[in-house]
Amino acid sequence: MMLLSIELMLNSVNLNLAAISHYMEDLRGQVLVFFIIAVAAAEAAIGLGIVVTLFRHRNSIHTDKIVSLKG
Amino acid sequence: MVQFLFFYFAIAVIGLGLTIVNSRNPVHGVLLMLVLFFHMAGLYLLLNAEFLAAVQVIVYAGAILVLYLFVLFLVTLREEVRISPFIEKGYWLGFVIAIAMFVTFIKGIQNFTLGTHGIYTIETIQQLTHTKAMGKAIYTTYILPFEVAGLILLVAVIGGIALAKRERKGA
Repeated sequence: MMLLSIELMLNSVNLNLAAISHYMEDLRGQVLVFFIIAVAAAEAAIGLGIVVTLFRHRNSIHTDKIVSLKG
Repeated sequence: MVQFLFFYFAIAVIGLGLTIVNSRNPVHGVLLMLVLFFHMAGLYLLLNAEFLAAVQVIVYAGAILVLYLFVLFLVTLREEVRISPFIEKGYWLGFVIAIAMFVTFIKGIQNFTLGTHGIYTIETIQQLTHTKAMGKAIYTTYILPFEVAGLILLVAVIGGIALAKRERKGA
């Protein structure tokens, strides 16, 4: 749910940038939206990779149970 | 007509956002997010940004959400675990902080002076299509961020492979 909220926040920033760039009659905001989508994809991939690796070792993704650094 | 579409998309986005955050089942949350991304693409279409709407649907709704669904089913989460909140009666404190941030944003917008208008007017964008206008902007002025975005994606691919490797037992 945390990861979904990050995507929601990134989308809200995208909408803001696209709207203001439309108002200013320039394309800078929309180009930035394009790059933000690319970076969000990369970050979602790595974040989910971490979740999968964590699940493989601890068999639980309840973060309150993941309290020791020892692998 | 355009007004009616804008109000429908805007209210749908807000309502869906609230529903996603409060949903018990994460798979329901991801599917509602898919609907939310389609409404966001509709909002981009109303802003004359067809390329962004297409990229949003293809990349966000088509790739990132599918990745989320894969991981959710791999992890076999039945229901979102409800734990006791970290701060007691934290709900009202969060509400007050959110209202304070909203008031700060509104006060900031009132003292906002716009910069200079750019050269890509709406008529120019509609004449050459938005894809071509974005291409002109990205490949001439913003070529360096474009290369850096390519590097970021390369790093993400390498990181994904490194995270998913299994250790070989023995040699």
